[in-house]
Amino acid sequence: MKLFLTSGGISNPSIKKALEEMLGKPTTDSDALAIPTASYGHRNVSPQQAWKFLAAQEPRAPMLEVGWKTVGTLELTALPSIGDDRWVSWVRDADVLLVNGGDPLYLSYWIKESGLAELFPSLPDTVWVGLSAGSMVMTPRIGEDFVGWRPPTGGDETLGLVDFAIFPHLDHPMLPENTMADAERWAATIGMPAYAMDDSTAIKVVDGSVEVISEGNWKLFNE
Amino acid sequence: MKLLLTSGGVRNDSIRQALEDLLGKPIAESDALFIPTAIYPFPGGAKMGYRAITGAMGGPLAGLGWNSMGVLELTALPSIDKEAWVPTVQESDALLVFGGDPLFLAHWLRESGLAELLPSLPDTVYVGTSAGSIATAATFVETYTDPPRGTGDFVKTENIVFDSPDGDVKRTLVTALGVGLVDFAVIPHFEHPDHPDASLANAQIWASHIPAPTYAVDDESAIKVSDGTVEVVSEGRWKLFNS
Repeated sequence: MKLFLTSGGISNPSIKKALEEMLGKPTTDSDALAIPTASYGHRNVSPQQAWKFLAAQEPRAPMLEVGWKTVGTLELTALPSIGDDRWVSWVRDADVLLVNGGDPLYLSYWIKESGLAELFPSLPDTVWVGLSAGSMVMTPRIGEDFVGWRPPTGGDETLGLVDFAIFPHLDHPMLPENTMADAERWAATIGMPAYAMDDSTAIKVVDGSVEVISEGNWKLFNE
Repeated sequence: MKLLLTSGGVRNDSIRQALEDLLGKPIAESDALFIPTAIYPFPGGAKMGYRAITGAMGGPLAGLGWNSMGVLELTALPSIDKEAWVPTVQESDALLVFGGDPLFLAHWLRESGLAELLPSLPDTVYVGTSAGSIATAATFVETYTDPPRGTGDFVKTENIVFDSPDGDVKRTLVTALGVGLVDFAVIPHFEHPDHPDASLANAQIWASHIPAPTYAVDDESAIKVSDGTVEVVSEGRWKLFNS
């Protein structure tokens, strides 16, 4: 899988261009599955936000808004009870997975519980586009500051498909606790390379190589 | 709980008027939650679910012009705190329950805890489409083309062959427990050309397997339930069996 880890979605021309290079075609020629699941686990994320994500009515964090050839909803919590033979082909047929934000540990739990995680190694060309928690879920751990929903096993570990951590929404006007100073304090506890990134920035990970695409502000800690 | 049980959504002015009567205010001033869960076990469930949630299929439902719309995903509810979702349901004016597999839906209505909560919501309007309507009965019977899949709790299954102008229609009749919001059953898509098992003659046979009064309603009809009063709203065709 190719990873495209954003903080605020496909929010500017540089990010969109980089994404289309990874897809090898325009978004409007690409088949997408949208994963809203992380939204449900976060206390401050309402069911209305899950709907806005799917209905492409969230211009501050565009994902569906850029236009896709086809879109389906991949509801991770439903997968264990509908059967692998039904949903695995939906994933294999998709060019891109659009993964909404919300609670990173809830999302991580359901990626594993649904069986989707087991499928990742067999999807070399699929692009994972994460938004906020949808990006953080690919890191080894998120740090105690971002723990909300508590998994049955405890801890702050996420999937660890990359070897760095992410602090999203840097300097976001609605998140006064997301300043660069806050990011620096968080990075000091995380024990690995860590990117603080604003909503105009994305991290592209293909075959182990990491590239930052940005029209905004970001910083790499613990190099 | 007030209910508007449709076959194909809010497709005409009569059904829309019935919905606004139940809401007691315009749709544009009402807050709704959409429940897509029943569609996911179907082939193509991901795309159909997406189109339903965004109001692009299934007869106008999500796309009616609500004041606000949220997603209430039943399969997610057991893994989140009740304090996080119960108030949202209590504050909403309407629950839009999409169609698909009624066995799967009834299972998750119970498992999620929503079925238990619904009777305590006197003013909330439950709007069902197809399987979303079927699952409200105490006991329902659904015709499956393939044996039912996914999670569900059934009472019994039996094979049946219906006659149709195009030859035999083989189905599995599944009898299962619904959530018991009404004391009748629903057969949707009455006389729909794509549903030969719901022709007039076959709906009668289908209904004979259901231990309750059964409304067969077409996509232009709906059953309106308010304070125990049941009324059929229709610009199409419907029939009451087992009365």
